Amino acid sequence: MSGSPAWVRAFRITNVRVVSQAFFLGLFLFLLWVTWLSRLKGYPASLFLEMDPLVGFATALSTHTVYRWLWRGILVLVPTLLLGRAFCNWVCPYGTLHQAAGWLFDIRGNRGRIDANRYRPLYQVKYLVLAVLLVMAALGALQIGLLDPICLFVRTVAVAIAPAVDPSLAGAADRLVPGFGALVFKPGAPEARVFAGAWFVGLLLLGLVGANLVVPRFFCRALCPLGAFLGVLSRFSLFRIDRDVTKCTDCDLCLKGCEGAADPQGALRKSECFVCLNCIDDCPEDALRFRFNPRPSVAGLVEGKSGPGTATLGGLPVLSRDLAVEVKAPDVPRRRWLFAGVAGLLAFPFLRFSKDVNARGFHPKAIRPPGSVAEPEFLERCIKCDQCVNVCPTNVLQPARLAVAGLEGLWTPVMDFAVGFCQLNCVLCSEVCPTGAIRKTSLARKLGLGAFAEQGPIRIGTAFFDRGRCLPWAMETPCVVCEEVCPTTPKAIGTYDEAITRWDGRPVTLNRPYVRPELCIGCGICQRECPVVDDAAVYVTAVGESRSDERTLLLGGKKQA
Amino acid sequence: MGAAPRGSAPGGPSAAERRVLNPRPFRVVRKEPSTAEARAGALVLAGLAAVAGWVAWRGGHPDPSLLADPALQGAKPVAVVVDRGPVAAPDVPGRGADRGGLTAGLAAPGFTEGAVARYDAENLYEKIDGRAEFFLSRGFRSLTSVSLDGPGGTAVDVELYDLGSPQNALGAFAAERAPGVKAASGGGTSWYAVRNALFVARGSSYVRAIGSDESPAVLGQLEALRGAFEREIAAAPRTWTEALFAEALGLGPDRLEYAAENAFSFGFARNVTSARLADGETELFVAPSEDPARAKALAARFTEGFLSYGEKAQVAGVAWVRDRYLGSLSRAVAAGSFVVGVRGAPDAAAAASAASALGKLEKAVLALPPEVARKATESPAGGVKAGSARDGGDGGDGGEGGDPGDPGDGGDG
Amino acid sequence: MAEMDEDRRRLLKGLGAVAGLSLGAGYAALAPPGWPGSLRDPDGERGKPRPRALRLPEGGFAVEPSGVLPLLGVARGSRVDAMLRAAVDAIGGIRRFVSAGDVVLVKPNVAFERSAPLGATTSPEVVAALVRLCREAGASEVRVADNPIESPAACFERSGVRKAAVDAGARVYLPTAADFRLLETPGATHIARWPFFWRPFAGVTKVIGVAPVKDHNLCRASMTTKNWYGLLGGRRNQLHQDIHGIVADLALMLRPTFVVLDGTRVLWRSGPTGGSLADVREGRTLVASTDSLAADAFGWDDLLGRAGEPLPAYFAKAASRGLGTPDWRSANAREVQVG
Repeated sequence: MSGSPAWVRAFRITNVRVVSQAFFLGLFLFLLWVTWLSRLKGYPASLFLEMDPLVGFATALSTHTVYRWLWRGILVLVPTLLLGRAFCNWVCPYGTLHQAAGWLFDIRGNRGRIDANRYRPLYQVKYLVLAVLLVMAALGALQIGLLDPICLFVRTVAVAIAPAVDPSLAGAADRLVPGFGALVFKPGAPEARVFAGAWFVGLLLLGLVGANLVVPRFFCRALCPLGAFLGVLSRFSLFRIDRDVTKCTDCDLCLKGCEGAADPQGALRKSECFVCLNCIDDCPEDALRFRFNPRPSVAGLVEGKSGPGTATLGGLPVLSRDLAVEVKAPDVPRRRWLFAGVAGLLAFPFLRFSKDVNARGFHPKAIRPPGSVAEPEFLERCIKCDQCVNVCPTNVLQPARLAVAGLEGLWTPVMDFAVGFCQLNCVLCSEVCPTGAIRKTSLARKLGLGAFAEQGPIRIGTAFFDRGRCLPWAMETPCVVCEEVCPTTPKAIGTYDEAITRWDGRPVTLNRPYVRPELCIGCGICQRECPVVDDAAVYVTAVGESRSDERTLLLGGKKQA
Repeated sequence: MGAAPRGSAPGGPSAAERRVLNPRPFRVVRKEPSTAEARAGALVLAGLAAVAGWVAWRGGHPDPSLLADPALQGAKPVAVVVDRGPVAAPDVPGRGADRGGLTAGLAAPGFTEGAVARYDAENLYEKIDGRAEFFLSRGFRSLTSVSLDGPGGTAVDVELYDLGSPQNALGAFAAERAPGVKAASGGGTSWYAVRNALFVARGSSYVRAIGSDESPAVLGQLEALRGAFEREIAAAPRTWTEALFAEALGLGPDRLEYAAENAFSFGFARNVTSARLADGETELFVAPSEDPARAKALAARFTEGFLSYGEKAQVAGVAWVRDRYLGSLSRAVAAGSFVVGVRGAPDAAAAASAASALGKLEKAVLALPPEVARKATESPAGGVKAGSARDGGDGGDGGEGGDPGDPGDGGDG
Repeated sequence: MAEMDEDRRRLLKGLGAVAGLSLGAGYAALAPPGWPGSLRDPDGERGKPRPRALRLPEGGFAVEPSGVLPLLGVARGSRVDAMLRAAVDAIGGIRRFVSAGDVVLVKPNVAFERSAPLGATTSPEVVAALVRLCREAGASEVRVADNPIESPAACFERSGVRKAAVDAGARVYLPTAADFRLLETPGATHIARWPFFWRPFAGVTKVIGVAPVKDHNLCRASMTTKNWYGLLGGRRNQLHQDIHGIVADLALMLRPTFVVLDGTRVLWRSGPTGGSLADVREGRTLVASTDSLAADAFGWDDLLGRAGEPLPAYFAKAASRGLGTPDWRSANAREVQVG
């Protein structure tokens, strides 16, 4: 290596790309790491979700609006229109994870790599996935979060990785290197965080990452709806990899490191190319360049017969046998697009008419966080990213299981008061929600104070006593933890105080609790702290929640317009 | 393969095949990156730096409404003042500060008076951290201090403590006096000098004057100070205990120690005056009570208190309590509405002589006129009342919840 | 011949491996439990987990009792630093309790996520003053720790205690799952063995409780004694079945160096959570005491204004164990007016 100065070699574009990937993966993890009360400050914790253009586009389809920070999708959209799917190999943290895993565990030689990186028809699937998801979104069932890589990765970190990493960081790692304990995702969480279905979210990650051993970038190439979305857009991109047929010897070495399986050795598939630029590095003939506005075809310009040694282009002999240089659009036949559209049309009612997500027969345990919009709008907005679950200080917010919310509500946030409770002075979930499923809610609004005094506090449910399980009611045993911890003022739990003689003759004063429904906000701290821990004697269900007129409990409990 | 590599010669891999079989797969085979490419790369890196900067900046500018507490709106919260500055005016030197009991013209010839500083209970620790409690428990009202600078770098620091009552002043005086140091008393003044220091109790004031050395100039200044205090500080009338111990036992006021509360570490023992006998160990004490019945009960409590460190013993037909650890003897008896007693007699002989002194004291107590007895039960004015919820001199703002009769406070909750 | 040798060697190697593994496995599984390397556990007893229990030092963290000094120092006023100093001076001054090199744990009550003016938590101003006082006395480290009911990070943040403590030079310990160990308290009725927030206690030489004055729905008043509840982990919600017995146990479990009763803001109703400024009134008082029962009794009579009512039952229970004297009037109290 001679000629170019050191700084030029250091700033080789593929080096820069690796730095960029590391930077964005680091930033992504950092932002999830600061998604916690003591660290949040002003950080844009949900930045990656907000600049995910698929999130912005799909919620615009479902709600006809662009919420709060979702305009940031333009920050990815515009570069895609200029450069192609560069996001996938420069920014996307999930893509970086897959690339890194594939690189780390790769046992192929060059020939194996070249074969593994050829385009396969399987890679159409992501476009079909995208089509189904967008059709459903347009009908009001937003399901992109199931597979959108940012949602998927945020959810995986929040629900599976952070809880798995924290105990060892706080324990063994901190003993080895004192101070490591300060790196935990959730400092000051008094108990290990647990999440419903963490096993599935975690195993899904292992499975998808493991798939890289078989098919490199399997998720990115075959499943990723965001990649498909950007792939569709990148047909307009002004830059692309361009192959010089007068230099290309058809050696296929460019495939060795091709991340997108974009056929740089032949007609470049613009919709598949991740702009990783490895092919340029790998080309021994310097036949590949990343060019502005390249010709879509050179076949017409070639003079002479295409064959050994006879054809020329611009006076130079054409070496490559393959004169096609570009495939603009995704490789999806029209009938398959059609199938996907129909599938989406049908899937919507399948999901929506599952009982639990409807006003009639809604699940009593599908208790939404305070600030949530009414259920149909909620389902139009929630992308299951679980940032709310991530920021929740008490662990009460859980990704919903199929049994609670069906597939449509899978991984949407619901409260499980066996795990935590909704902390009175906390509105963090509404702060980090990128799509307004939990609308940004001030504390004054939540508590019904100040300007909101007339509307009253936000209620997320109502507490009920199971007198058959309650110690003072059923077992002649004193206990009023529920009243002690009730945070409203005045307290929503009162007691009937009664002095009785126990079965063994001892006198005892029992404080038998009851609910004052007008005051109860459904925060669930009573259920959380109830000593009957397995099936609490006081429990909260969704009825009475103030976000919906259909679910009120008391006459006059209708929400204010 | 999309296109078969050309130019393959039989008998070995072609150049193209050799490249594919490259044993070092991570090696970049491309020739040179262009400057334009590196510029683009640098631009991207600058962009990353900008993103990092923006995120950091955003992080530093939180939305204040996020932690605002609407529960605090509308009503005025209780103010808790954190103010660690010095306590306002009085101790600022040289501004015509209140001189308290310090009269002008304290400086002897050759000495000049420095700034006068005053301290109250609140900031006393600033002047004498660690010793403040000693005075606070003796009815401390104020400390006035001044430094007198003399020739050749000498100085005398004067501290005048207003302790509210002669008992307190004498009590502090006696408690600070090292054993074996003789004090003089007369004309309402008790004093002693040790090397370069002078200690005076007069009226309700207790003065410490400490010189920088034992030079004649300093000793002269100390002597001048004593004169000044005798002239300028009002002597208190003799207290009933002074009279009692002087007349019954011939013990001067400088022998007396006074404990407004917690005497002998007994929580119940208040308003106790004691005097040490000549052996330096045996103490005679007297404590007033409201009436003879209560005096009896109090005497019993004293005995009980002594018993908690010892057991009963008979010496010359009299009931004593022998300290389990020290072997010393103590006893307490009721005399009218008073309790008198002996504490810490080292052996039987001392106890026997103390018993006779106690007899004299008992007789003198019984002879006290009734109005003296009545007044004696009151704590000396100015002292902090032991066990009272609130300082008598302080208005009502110490805590609105203090009054049990306040109807708004009690029952709710 | 050479071939035979090779065969034999291979056979011997194979036999050796089989025999070695069989013998090893047999030994580990069948050797009597006492033998080294034995894993044998005939009745399941060996396999039982045996959590190691800790004990706090004999006599707790109390200093030598003084017969002379008052038991209770009461400072009235509004300037907390001066008040705290006066209150502590009244019981002997901070140097009686904290010496150079001490590692001091300050235990505030930060049980709920409430802003300081709502009175549900120890005033951050008092915590800060106490931390400064300890540092001045030469404490090499001051720690502030509590295990709140609500989310610790949020409680410490909103109450202002974290910031106040850190600014004053203390380290704040938020509880995590790994920070709890079984603590043995001989003689305790209910919590003889109970999970305890031990991590901040590692290496601690002095412990100072600083608790607000709060009404409490169940034990009627929560002050310096109930404050130790915040050091417990585990199934705390069972403790309410005999709350007075528990508070008495707490007094036994932790013998502090001294306690500070923070009567600057008094949560006089709707306790222990409060939540409205109407539940709080001004107390203008700080109490320092080596006897938490005396301090609490003072708080009951004077700050909560319930002198006419009988003390909650835990006072008598704790006093009968010799853990203090609720009769603060006949104990030695000293009151100072500050500013």
